[in-house]
Amino acid sequence: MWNRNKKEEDDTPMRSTAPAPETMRDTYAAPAYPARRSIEDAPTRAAAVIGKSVVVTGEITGKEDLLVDGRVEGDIDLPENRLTVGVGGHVEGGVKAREIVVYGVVHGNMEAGERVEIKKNAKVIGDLRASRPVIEDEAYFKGNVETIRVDPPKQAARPAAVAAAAVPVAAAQPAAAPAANPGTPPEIRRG
Amino acid sequence: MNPGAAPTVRKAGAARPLPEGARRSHALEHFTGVLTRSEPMQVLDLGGIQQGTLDFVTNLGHRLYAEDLLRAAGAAFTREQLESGSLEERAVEEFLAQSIPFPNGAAGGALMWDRFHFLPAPLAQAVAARLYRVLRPGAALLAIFHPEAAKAQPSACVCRIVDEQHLLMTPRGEPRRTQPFTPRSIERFFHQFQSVKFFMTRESVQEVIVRR
Repeated sequence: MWNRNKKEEDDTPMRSTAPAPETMRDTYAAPAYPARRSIEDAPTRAAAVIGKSVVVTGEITGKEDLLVDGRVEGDIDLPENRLTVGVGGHVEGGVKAREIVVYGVVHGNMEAGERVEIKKNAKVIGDLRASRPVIEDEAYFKGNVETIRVDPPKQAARPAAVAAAAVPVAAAQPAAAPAANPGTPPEIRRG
Repeated sequence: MNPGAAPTVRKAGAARPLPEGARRSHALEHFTGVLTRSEPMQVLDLGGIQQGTLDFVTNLGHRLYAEDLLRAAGAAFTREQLESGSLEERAVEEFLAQSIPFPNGAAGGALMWDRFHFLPAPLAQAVAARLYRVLRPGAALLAIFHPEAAKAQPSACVCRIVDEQHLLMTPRGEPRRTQPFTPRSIERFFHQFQSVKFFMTRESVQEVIVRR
């Protein structure tokens, strides 16, 4: 009896809903996009897909993740989301996104607030700006790399000090500022 | 990186053990000295990008331009042209404009690794002349030459910076025909530059720091 309970206790963590380990989330198998998305993108983060036979000419903007397996001739702007250029994907134009992962070909400048990953056998010609550029061995990259430094948030400051420090920034904002991004912390304003 | 902040360099061996095959490079130490004493500037890596080099250079606050000149030459010229060395002047100019697209005096440092060794003589000389124009006065160029006495044709190396003192050179790809270099011919090769400093490694590899 004791052993059975012990076993049940041991089993419990195995059924936990903890997120998948980083190594598992980073693995990529070309034909297995659905499996990758099911791990990484949870139900609320379905990615739009430009399929293999699709050619898009023109600018793409949006607020959801995008997987390009076809061809895009134009700029892509996903400031809050991730762009993945699949093995068969080809982008001819500038790319801005929160995260960019390239398995295919990009001919244009890339800028990401967070990471850019250029995977093995990918080909990128253009300049790259990101806080975390990662270029795997046997990827081809030609261009300039510039790292964006992001200062880590200071957590030790007391609330009063934070409020005081935020005032000049908040005061500098125009009165009719655009609606806050749901993902960003609310501004602290003096009442 | 905050331009006003002093650059930080990870001390060798302090935190992480060196990867297998890494070796100390006095030429790299000189090159690092130039990088750490400089304001944020443009650095060229003409041996193809490697993550270690990218991290090292950008952590010092500099911008890194990457291109693999061997690969670019292979795409711009035929194998026969590269082996015979008979290259049209206009094609060479176009190759240089595409591969090293910078105005005069734009760069503060260049990592050429062993690429001069594997380019045909006229192209290697044209690249050196181009780098002379692109590098600003005082800039440093790091180049590596394989031992002259090597009987077998060497393969070009993938080179990456491990830390400010150590390099990792990994031969990759098929053996290639090399252009022979002696210390005297290396000096002649860089005759436009201000100085050439030689460092002989334990493996008889010639490392060179050339100052513009």
